[in-house]
Amino acid sequence: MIDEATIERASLYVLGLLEDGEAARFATAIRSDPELAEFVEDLQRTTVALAASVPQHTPPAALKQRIMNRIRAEQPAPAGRSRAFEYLGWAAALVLLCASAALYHDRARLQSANAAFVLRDNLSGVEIVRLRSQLAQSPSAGAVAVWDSQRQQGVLDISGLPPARADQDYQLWLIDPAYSNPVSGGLVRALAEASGRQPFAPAKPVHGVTKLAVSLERHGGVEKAEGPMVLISQ
Amino acid sequence: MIHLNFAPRANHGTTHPMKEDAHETIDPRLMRRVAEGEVSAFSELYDKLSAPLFSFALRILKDPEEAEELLQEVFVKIWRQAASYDPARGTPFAWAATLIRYKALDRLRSRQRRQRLQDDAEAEACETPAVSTNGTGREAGEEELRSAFTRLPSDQREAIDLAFFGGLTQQEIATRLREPLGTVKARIRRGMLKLRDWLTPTV
Repeated sequence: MIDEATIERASLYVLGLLEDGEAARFATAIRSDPELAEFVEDLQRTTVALAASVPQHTPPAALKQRIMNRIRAEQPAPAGRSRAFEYLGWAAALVLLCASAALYHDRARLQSANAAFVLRDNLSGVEIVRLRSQLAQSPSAGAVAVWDSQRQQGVLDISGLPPARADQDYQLWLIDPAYSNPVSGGLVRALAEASGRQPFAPAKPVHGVTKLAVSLERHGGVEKAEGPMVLISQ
Repeated sequence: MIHLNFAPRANHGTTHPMKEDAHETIDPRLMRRVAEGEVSAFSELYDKLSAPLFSFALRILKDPEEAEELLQEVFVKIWRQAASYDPARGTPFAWAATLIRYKALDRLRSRQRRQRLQDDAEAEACETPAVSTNGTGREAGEEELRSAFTRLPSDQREAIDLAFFGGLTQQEIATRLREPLGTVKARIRRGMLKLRDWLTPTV
């Protein structure tokens, strides 16, 4: 049975009316109380219904054309990503296997590596990056990224990172000195299972990536990194 | 912070009071095709989501041009970040509506700040966003929402409206309504409970 005070907090929570600290505490309470979680889910469904309940207006037809032109003009366009990822998935598995073997047999090389990319594979343009935890409470968290600079695509394999709160998301960043700010690689998830590969692509072309990082940001992601860096390559 | 995302819930066989719109029946595979860079899939997604998202943006911003700008911004973001969409965390509409609301409220607050700076003496007037004169903007209370929301008692509807569509804080709502904070919270609680009962299927 959910008491009145909790119902009130839940209502304020789904409308975004709780202060950050209180919202964080409430999010924690949700995770430990299935009944409350279900109730909050209902309220969240209600807010979506509210968003959909406004009188409908159709945007101008020209807007669609503008948007379609915009996405087609974006370089590199994600078009064709499917086949590339099919290939990249296999390549990533191969590269990860090679990397594991190489890292095991070539510690000296690893120790001398000061650059962000600890190993460059023979596959041209494909690089492996290890990201290390910046979290005191999760020192074993980490990630391995396989980054294909030619295709401007990559695969990230995160492990040991605690799930983000309901109002937050993890976001990947690619640091390229050509840009004054890190380039977003999109949202990434800390999966419940031990690890899982997630594809990523930068928001704009990057050709001189020196570091990769994962930060904890507001839900939905941000244009510029604001939150704390939780994983970063060396 | 807002929390529009939720996991899709099983249909328990009861009648949903909201009509089933195109955006509610998006095949998850469509998002996957968008994530894979299929332009035709993106076009299809736009056709399903653009009207409800534009309407939501317009409801918050009350400015068609700004709503168009925002819609473009959000759809470009969807295109770029479709791979990060997680069906377990909500429908595509819920995901996109979250983006719309965040960005629309940011714009609304920026606009209100600019307005306050320009004419501090008319701050009261500035609290109500300018309404476009091209016929698509509407005044508050004018056939704004469908049946469920309009069935709420006006005091509850007003408090939820200011929070959800206006992005005001608890204290700002209390100040606007000239009511104690506790009263505002109670109105929101009662209103949300009613909406929840009316808008979500019962088990």
